[in-house]
Amino acid sequence: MKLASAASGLMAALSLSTSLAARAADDYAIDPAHTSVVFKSNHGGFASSYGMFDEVSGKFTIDPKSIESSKFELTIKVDSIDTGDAKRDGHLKSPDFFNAKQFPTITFKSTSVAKHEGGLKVVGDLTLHGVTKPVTLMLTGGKVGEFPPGVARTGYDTSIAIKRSDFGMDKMIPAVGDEVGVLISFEGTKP
Amino acid sequence: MPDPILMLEALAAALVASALVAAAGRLGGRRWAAASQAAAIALGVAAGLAVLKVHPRWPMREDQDRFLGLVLPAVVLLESLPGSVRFPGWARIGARLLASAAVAPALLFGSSYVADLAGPGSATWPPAQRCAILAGLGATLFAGWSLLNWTARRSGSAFRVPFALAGATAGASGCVMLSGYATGGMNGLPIAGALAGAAIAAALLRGDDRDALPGVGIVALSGLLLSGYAFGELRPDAAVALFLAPLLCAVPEAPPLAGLKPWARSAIALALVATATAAVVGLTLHRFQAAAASKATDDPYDAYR
Repeated sequence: MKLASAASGLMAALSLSTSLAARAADDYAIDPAHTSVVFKSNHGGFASSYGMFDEVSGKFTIDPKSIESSKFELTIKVDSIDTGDAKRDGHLKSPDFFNAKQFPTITFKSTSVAKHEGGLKVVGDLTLHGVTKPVTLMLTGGKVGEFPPGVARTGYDTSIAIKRSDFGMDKMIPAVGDEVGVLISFEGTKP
Repeated sequence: MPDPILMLEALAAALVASALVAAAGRLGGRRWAAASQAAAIALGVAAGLAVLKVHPRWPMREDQDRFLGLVLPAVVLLESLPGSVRFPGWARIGARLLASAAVAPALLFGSSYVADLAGPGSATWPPAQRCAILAGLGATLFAGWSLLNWTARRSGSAFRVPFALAGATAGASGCVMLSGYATGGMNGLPIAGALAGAAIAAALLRGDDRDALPGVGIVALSGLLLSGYAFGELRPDAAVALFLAPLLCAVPEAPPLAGLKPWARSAIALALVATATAAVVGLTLHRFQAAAASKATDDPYDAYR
């Protein structure tokens, strides 16, 4: 009887420590107002054209005690593309480029996270135009604070260059360059 | 915008290849007319697409992959059978009805119109609405297909229906390109060229167009228009008008024009189709230019200049 009671106590203690460890990780929701995904591509060899996506959502978990347990998920709504020209936006949404009706979202889901000088090295699967490929994001930043008071916040910056043809988006090249530079900055808040 | 010289080369390649194959097919006699016309369209389109360096990709993830790799080959195969293989009339009608019903679902497969890509219930068309729309599209295509077959048989003209379809397809190609879907529209040009080439061969060699050309042509036209509307920004009014344009070639078969000589009826028919197609192309071009001008006048930096 005493043995059973001791085992039960041990299980409870283990359960409590596991729970505390889980709480040590910080879960953030992407703050859309302070998140930007900006891209640039070459136009016919003349100059770069820039655009952005207005609707980005996602969540991430930072575990300071076990950084490799951290996770990042980002979803971009293709229909929210905004280059400052409605006609060009319409063209970019067509199957000549993103094919928003067939592939309405761009997603990134991390598969591994490691510490890196000044930030984090995040490897994950980028799904663009219906094709999933591994990419590596070098995140800088990670300042943790409260802004506004009472709202815990952190954020990161990163950039990446991809070849759109690698994702099956191979039309209208070279009128619109194959290589696309992407700047991503995001902040997350925690209730 | 795609290279206009390249587009003309693709159109010409499709026309010449199709005309040569159709002409060679005349050697096979009446029994092989449908098969040779279908082969002319297939090889003509293939030649034109080769010039454009376009080919359907596997797996078929996008509308043009399914259009070029599934819909067109299927209808070419279907329309090549009559004559060379004996089918009862009901089976032929049933096959065409089935093919008509399958075009829209094939092109829209996996898209946000019919699939819940952003979570349960997120499809643009809810299930009941989806069934009604797809059935309506299939029924409309079948009606147009049947009308053109009837017209081709009744007109006594070797080129009226295929030329009407070639003209409407070329117009649709331009309209889709002007509606933000350049590569999708461009793929219509080899189809238009192939239809025209096969029709020229049929006219010059005193063949007839009662076989594959109307079916392949109307399915290709409807596929092109549906892709332009669903995946580009082709306005529904333009899409509907362009679908109806080649059907106008049936008008001279109704009284009192039905009493005219065949060449006069064909001339009136092609004039009607050309006028309707040109009007829609003109309207689409006007809308394109107006949108471009609107962007120019909306420039927020104008005030600082």
